[in-house]
Amino acid sequence: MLIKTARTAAAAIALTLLAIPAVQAQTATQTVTFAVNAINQIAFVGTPSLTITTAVAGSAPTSVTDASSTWAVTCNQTGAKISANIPLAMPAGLTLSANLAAPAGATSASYQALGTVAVDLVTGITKLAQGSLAATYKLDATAAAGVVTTATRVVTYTISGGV
Amino acid sequence: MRRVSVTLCALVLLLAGWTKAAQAQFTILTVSGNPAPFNVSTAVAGSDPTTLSSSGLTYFLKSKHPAGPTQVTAQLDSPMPAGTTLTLTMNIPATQGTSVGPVALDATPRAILINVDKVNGNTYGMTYTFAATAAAGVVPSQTRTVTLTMSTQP
Repeated sequence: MLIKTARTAAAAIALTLLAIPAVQAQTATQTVTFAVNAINQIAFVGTPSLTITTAVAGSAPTSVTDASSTWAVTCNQTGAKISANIPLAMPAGLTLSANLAAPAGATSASYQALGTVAVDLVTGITKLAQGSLAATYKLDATAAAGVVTTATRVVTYTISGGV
Repeated sequence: MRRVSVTLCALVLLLAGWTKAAQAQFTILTVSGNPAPFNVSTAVAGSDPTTLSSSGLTYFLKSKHPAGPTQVTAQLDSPMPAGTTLTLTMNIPATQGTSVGPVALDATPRAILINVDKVNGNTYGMTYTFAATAAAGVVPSQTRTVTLTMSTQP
């Protein structure tokens, strides 16, 4: 009887030792806090240059355009717009215009004459990130403008109005 | 004879307790704390908002279990907002396990570390990254709880 009991107990011990349990799940937790603020970012690349040199007899001097510039935008709001202005008015008889290609879903106002008062060039910019968009400048002159020596204007673009 | 039986039974119970205690010490997973809040507020024009990463986070791991390799999974208490992504990377030496690499987290357990074995209690780095697309829009501050679970690898 003693031997039988001992054998039973020994078997139990062996089973206990051999019954390696599966890993009990160990857990740890972390809290992650996040937010995305309003972002409206634009950038322009290029140094356009415009020189009027010709005319068709009987007409105003021939307008010239420069399409060497590009622009990019990141906006995570709805209904933003881009406006532009120059710090000094153009000489009499000269008109500098800008035309920005619209990113997806937005609307371009095509060529708009630039002045010291901001004009809207693109509207309806909503939650997008897009680059390599065309920025085209045009210079018009009347004969009355005469000969105008080289001058520069810094065009300031502003993105605003998103909600 | 009765005394022998009682003694042997006590021995069995003692061994059973030992295996339980040992099991509890085979696997340990702790973290150093929470990542600093991710506040996205910048972007390069033409690109999605700038991705942010945590720094300085670590975890402590011990995994020497005779049942075999373990794994670590991560799970969020609720999905991320549309257009945002929270990813987790947990570093580990190749001799002690395999890091799956940056893993996007959601409400489903995702394996972060696999084949973890023979880690005798070491501290390693871990990194969260938070990314948002422009389409995500403005996202007010909110939180997610990440549950890291170490368990036997299936």
